[in-house]
Amino acid sequence: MKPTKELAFENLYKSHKDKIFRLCLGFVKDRDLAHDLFQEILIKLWKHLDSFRSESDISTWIYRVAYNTAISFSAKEKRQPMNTELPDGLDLVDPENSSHEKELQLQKLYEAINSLTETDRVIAMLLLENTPYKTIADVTGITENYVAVKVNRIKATLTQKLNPHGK
Amino acid sequence: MENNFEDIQKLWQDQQPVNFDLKDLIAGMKKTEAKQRRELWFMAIITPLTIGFLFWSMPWRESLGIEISLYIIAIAMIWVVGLAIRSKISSNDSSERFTNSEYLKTQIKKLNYRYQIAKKHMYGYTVLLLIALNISYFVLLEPLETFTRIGIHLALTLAIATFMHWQMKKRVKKYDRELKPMIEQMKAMLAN
Repeated sequence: MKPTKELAFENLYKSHKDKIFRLCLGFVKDRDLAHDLFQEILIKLWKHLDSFRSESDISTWIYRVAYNTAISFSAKEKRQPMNTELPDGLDLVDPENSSHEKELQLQKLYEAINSLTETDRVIAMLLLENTPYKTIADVTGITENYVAVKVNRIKATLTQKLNPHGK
Repeated sequence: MENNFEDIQKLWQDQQPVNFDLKDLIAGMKKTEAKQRRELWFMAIITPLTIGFLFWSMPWRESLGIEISLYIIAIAMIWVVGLAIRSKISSNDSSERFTNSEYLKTQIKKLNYRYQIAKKHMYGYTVLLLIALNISYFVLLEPLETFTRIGIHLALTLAIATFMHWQMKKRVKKYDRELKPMIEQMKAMLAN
């Protein structure tokens, strides 16, 4: 039988892996780096799993670990020149739904996210995952009201950059 | 705008991650944990062992000078190991407890602390080491002529001081290359 920690980690992995991987793609510039970051986050989650107290929300806890790890990782990576373009052969989308148009839109989205400040980038990605304002505030350390203000601005920025002609 | 943003959310969420082999990953993480535990144990054990060996091999009972120098070496070693352990296992790594801004502040503090160890504390360690070695040599070289003794003391001090200074400069240069841009980047993130 598997130990409790392993079971808890497996559940956490199953329920959050997609979100975590997407945030990795939002923070770093290529697929290999995204994999490295993804693995680093999983290692941290594993390492700190024993310290998780069930009185707080597991998603908030995971986001904190994930985003804080991503921030450090991104600070390390930014020592090199930033490239916001989507690398060639980056198989990000489900092959069944894959289309050139979708890839272009995704590329624009990455460029738009990368153009934001660090806090706004975190908020943007949490927003794209439909995260409640309360959780965003808990993760970023800013008030819910300020989150709301920033959300409006971020939504407008992203929408404008993806639909510059308001289509 | 709302509908457009919902489309953007859908576009974002439609991305599919590559599946990791979780079994391998967990096995790897367990191995890493065991390795880190071993390293910490090694760090904790090697210092008392070295100090014990020095006390065992040196004639400290016969000379107060050697006894004092061994105590100085022991204090210096414990101090440096303490600094290393503190920088490795400090609570600053508790990413789950901090919000983004708190985390950035603690990371900046942690990186600056590593700088401080290389820039300042290691010079303190070198001074203690030189004092201890010179006291020991003062006692051990007693049968030799004064001129020879002074020469050995000077050569020893100069050699160790130069080597340690070179090592620390090398470390600081490495930190300038690796840590400084990170600290600046994190400060810029905090300012945003």
